[in-house]
Amino acid sequence: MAKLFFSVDVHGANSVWRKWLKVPDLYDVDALLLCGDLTGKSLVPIIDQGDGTWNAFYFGRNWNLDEGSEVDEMEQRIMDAGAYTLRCDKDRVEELSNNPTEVESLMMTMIRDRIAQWMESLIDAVDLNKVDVLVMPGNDDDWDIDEVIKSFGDRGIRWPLDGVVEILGAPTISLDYVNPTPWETPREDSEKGMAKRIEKLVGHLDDPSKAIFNLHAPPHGTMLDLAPELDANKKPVTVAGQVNFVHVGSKAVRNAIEKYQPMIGLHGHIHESYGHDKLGESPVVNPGSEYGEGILRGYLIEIEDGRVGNHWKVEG
Amino acid sequence: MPDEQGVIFTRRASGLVRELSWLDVFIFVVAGPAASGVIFYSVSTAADFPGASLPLAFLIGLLIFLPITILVAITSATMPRSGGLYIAVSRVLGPTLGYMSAWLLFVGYGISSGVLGYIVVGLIGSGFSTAGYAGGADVLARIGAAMQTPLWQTLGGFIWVILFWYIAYNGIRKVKNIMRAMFFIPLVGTVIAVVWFFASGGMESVAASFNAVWGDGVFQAIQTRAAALGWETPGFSFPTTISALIVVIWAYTSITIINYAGGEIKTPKTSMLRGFLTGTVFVGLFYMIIVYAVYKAFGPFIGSYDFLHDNHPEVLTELMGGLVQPSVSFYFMSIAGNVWFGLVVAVSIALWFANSILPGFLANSRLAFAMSMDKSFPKALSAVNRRTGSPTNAVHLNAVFCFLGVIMMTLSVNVILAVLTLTVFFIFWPYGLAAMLLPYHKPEIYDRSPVKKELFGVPVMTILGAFTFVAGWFFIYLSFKEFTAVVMLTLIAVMLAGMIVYLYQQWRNKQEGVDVSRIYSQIPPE
Repeated sequence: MAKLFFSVDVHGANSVWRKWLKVPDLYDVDALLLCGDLTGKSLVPIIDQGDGTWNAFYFGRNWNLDEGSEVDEMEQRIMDAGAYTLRCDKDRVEELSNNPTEVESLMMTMIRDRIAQWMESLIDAVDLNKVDVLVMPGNDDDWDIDEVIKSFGDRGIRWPLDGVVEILGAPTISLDYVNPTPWETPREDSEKGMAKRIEKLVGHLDDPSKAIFNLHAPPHGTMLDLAPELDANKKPVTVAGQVNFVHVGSKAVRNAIEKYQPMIGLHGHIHESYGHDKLGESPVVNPGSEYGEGILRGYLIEIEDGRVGNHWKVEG
Repeated sequence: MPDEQGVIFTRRASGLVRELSWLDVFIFVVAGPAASGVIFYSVSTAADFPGASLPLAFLIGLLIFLPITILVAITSATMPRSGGLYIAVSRVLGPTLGYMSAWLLFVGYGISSGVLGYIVVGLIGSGFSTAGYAGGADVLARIGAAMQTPLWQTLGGFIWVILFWYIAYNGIRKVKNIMRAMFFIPLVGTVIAVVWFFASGGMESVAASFNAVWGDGVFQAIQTRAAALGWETPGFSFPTTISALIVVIWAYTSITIINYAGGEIKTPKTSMLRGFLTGTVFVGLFYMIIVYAVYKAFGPFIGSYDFLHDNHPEVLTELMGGLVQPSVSFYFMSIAGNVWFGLVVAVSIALWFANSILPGFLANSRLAFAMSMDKSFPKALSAVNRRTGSPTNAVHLNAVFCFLGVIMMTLSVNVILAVLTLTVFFIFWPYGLAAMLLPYHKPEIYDRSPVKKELFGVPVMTILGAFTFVAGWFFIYLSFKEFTAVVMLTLIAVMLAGMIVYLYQQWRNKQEGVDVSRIYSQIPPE
């Protein structure tokens, strides 16, 4: 009985990543699937006030910090929550405010650096001779990180997006793209486009029913794809004082799973909608994500003789 | 001063989607220049450059452009962003020179795409005319003749522009899929033609086939009449071969066009190098084989025909019953053996021109997008349609210039067309200079280059940049061979128009408190 651990949407959170590294020891897994979205979304300036104190705005409030350990600790907290930090003065903040291109470039450098650090720590912490490790970007990840992750391929970290890879004896197809979102992320495609991408991937499989479908977008109309309904201003719609949830997953993904009945469907993308469901005979799971709180969510999946045995949700 | 206590910066991706693989880079590298090289320059310049060896000229062209395309591939892989060469020039040499290079290119590419749309209609019409004359089908002859009139070429040009405008508007995936399909149609047609030429069976067989189409003794009569009117079959001339480089350079000119969509290439570090290298070598060999094949079949007849077409068209009309522009398609149809087979292949070959229009749309819209992202062009041009991943307004603006190109052809404003040569070649010398300096001026960018080797202590990028710099000035020298006062004034007008836009944008940036020096110190977002 081989065990696979699947987790998604870490969004740059160092704290969650450190927990990922401990999974093989905790659960004695044979394969580790660490899937997108991998990168953070914001850069927090820690601003030198010029009088020996620093200021940062994060976690919904202003923080006035003394030089030294307080700044160090806050920086660590921010990075643990998934953001990137920049120590600078007020003039620098003003410069960046007027130059989104420079902000973008700066953040991309930080993003690449953190991904590289993560890959290095992964290699150090996990015995890649015993554990299959697959790292995949998601829809919200910039393309630049692809090369970074690939560059560790010769050191044991597996890159899944260039074709079928085998995980615990099961052929696995992976897709980083999702159906359109309100957020205009880098890797989105129409439902028609999603269907084409999936069909192309499935075309490489001899027997899709024995395959793992590692598709970032969850299937539409399941327990995996419920998210708050948004109005034109991207604000949650409330009904009778309660946030209204709607299905936002991919119809193309659902159709593919129903059609091909893979061994299992592994999904993510919708952080709020962690859980499992079944389409036909195929189980589908979404670990969800609470990276901002430093909580690691994942699914442990037992695979034996090309079939899924037990699967259960873990978090901590 | 923003409220510093509440500042958090977030990423702002460009919105463009990385969709193109190395195969697509290859296709664009070939499709960009193939039209003019394949169809016209291979056979329509024999009388202009008597004694030139065109296969040799195309080989020299390949040797000139291969180092350039290698450099383009390297810098595109280093800075895989839309805007291509403009990004390199503006980041190393400064915004003004970068802008001016890009502006000239934008004008040149835009108008050229319209010109191509106009030409392809006439070329297809030429095929129909040939089929009509050859097969005695008056209807085809009349259709073909009509398609070669300014009216129908204008309407057809507009239709082509509208078609590719629509495709480009619908995003990179549509562009990719359509290019993949379109590319192979003329490729297959050309391969058929090449095989036919090689299998033509010698001059007597060619003459017999030609006469079977155009009339008994016409083949010989063309040569006889050309000789009587002063045409002499020349021997090989190396100086003339060098002079022919002006058209050969044109045949290669769009070979780098895909780099302007660098922000939409997947795995650019590998795709760029692989696509550019294979594509460039393919183009060079493709050209040489085509030229060799046609000349192997028709030999000195090509010079005679070209001479009469350019200088005594009435003679050809008398002998053949109509005037047909020399092209690969024409020569193929003359020996195809079956009118309809010849027509199908000829039309498919003509579609090389269509293949060159869509890359122009893609490149030019991304060029405008890149300048807009740098705040040198109106902000609206960097708006990306979320659904399609296409810079919508930039696509629309390019369409305007394309229509302008069609209109210029209608009005036969040749002086404007003469300016196009300089506009599309101008960027190579500043790009070469930028590449020379990049390892020293921008080490943080150079560090990301997939090629950081040195030769005798000098970075390969610098060496290739120096070559490109020299080649760039050579291109300008060739362009100036047709320079006149009117061309100069037109060029000045184009440059002034661009500078007006640029200076206005810089004024606006200043009013808004934007420090553009910061923008140009970084490469753009994805």
